[in-house]
Amino acid sequence: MEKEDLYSRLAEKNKNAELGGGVSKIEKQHEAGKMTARERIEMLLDKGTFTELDKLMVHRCSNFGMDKNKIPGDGVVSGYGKIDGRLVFVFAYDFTVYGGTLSATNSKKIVKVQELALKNGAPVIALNDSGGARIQEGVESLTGYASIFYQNTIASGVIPQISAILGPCAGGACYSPALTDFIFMVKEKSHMFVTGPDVVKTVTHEDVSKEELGGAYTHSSKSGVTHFLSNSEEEVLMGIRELLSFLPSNNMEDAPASASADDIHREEESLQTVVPADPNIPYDIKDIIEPVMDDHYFFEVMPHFAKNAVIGFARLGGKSIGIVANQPAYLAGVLDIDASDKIARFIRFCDCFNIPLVTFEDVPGFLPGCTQEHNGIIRHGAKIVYAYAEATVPKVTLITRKAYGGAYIVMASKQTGSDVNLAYPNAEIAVMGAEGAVNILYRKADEETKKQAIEDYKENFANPYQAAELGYIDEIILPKQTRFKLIQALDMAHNKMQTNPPKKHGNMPL
Amino acid sequence: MEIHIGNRTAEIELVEKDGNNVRLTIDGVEYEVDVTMAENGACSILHEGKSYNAELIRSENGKNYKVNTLFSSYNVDIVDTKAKYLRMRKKEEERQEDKIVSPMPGKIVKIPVNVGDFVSAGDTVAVIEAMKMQSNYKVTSDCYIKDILVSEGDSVNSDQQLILLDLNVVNA
Repeated sequence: MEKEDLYSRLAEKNKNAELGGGVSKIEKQHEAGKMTARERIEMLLDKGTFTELDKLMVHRCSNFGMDKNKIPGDGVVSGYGKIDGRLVFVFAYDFTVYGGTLSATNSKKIVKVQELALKNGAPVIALNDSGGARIQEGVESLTGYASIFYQNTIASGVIPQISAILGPCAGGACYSPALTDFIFMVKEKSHMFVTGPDVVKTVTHEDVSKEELGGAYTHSSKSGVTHFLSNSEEEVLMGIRELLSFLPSNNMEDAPASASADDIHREEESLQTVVPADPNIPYDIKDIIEPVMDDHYFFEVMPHFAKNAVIGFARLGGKSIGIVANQPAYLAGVLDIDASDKIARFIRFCDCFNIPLVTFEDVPGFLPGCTQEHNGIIRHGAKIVYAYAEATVPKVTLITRKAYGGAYIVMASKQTGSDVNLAYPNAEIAVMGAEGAVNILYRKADEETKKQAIEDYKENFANPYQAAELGYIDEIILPKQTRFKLIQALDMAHNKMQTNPPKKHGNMPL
Repeated sequence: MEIHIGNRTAEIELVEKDGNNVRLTIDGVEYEVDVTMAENGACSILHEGKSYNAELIRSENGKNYKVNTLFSSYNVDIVDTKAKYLRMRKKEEERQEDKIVSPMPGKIVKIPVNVGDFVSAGDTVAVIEAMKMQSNYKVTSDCYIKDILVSEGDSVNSDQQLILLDLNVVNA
């Protein structure tokens, strides 16, 4: 064969592979308001940086006449490229090829990318849009999922793993995203469930829509499965780029710093009045977080789930930090089961990837009641202590108002390993509220004595000074100084060297 | 790279740069120019034998510039991933269910609405004291108060229904 023919044959093969399931299938995908796998990757990565792998790999199934229809590349587009100039690996299910179903070939392509990412210390991004297992291949397909899940688990804590759900993701397929660090979903377009509405109906007789059962809204507000709820695919892809800007490429690197023109000494007068004088009046904790951060920018994670806790990323002095906060404006900022899970998992993510933690604490306590106790607030709440105590990254805590009882202990108190603990002058650090304490201490006393005792208790304990006298609070600061004080503390702890005893892994209460 | 110039949005791409000679495309049209940056943000551009002078003033966050030419002045914003993401990120929208339920045990301090009232999004319909805090419960869309099941001073449990709403009755 002539050289030219050889080259044109390659061009022909590549062109064929790039069409995936064919023009009509691509049109159908567009009609459904969705992008194709290649379009998604194109938008996600820096222009012209995508290198595709296994473009010509085909499936090897011969059941049900499948051998007569082999599409080059099969149902996954995979490879590597760059985001903000940094290496990332990506794989996208191609819905135009057999509905993006998982064949043994697809799983081999995915595992190849996962292994490369792990070896080369770069994040993996999964763009899911798949009908599930390829039934024609039987147990081959299931095995494929198993090997993907295995890689997800092995890579956990070594490289960031991000999943976007851009179409259906049902049955076993749900567990790959669930094993990764962050999940993005699109309103009305993406659905995740272990069993679909039809099965639900036959088994439990519940009549429930796809959207209600496993839509983006359900998973971002009720189940806490997904971290980001987006209005469009483009928003998901930009969201992934933005999220990665806060993260290192692997667990051996520091998070990237980005130059900021924001003055580290900036004092924010508005902070002096954010916390109301009356401790019974709520305020929005984000009114403290945002003004303090570089360029007032706070990238919130899971904004719709367990809103009594706030988590997310920001930068101080140009360096990435993870923020954990109580939210007095929702359920008084109590810690309940959902908030505990949300906080603990985020702390562990930050610790995996060397991202310092800043905690804004205003917590009246754990939520009392049968529902919470019966569902195990004890073992869930324990996760917060475990996660904070185990984390070896720099940890700074600021008590903005209330820090009561067990909740004070678990929210990164000095003795659980926090490096710097700060408090505002109006902070209240005590075992319990004045009324509760007096009712125990002066059980038999008359009303007048109790009233006096409550006043005394408030005067003596509902402040940060006892804690400061004992050295459990390092410094009491003015609210307007928050930014500089946090930056100083993080700067001091920047080279912190701390390791836990060697072990296989701890036994975290799950 | 996408940039905003006044009200115009333009897609700019750098094709080639060789010293001061720059080839770039603006919305697909290619230009070959000679750019020299003088001090203090003054910039001189040569294009097809014509010379243009402009002064660039960089804002604090480094992503927008004020550009002064001889006759006019423009605001130029560079649209990066963050800007795109924030633009798409709409204000948190909440779905209003057809009832107000107490999320935790507490005491009703105040019910500032009556049965038959029309309330608009953002209005407070109940004030509950729980966990040492008086929290305001607001509706997130316009609705009609169908029934109030509790009165001021009552103790409530978690998940107890407090107020029934009708989201479909519109205030005429």
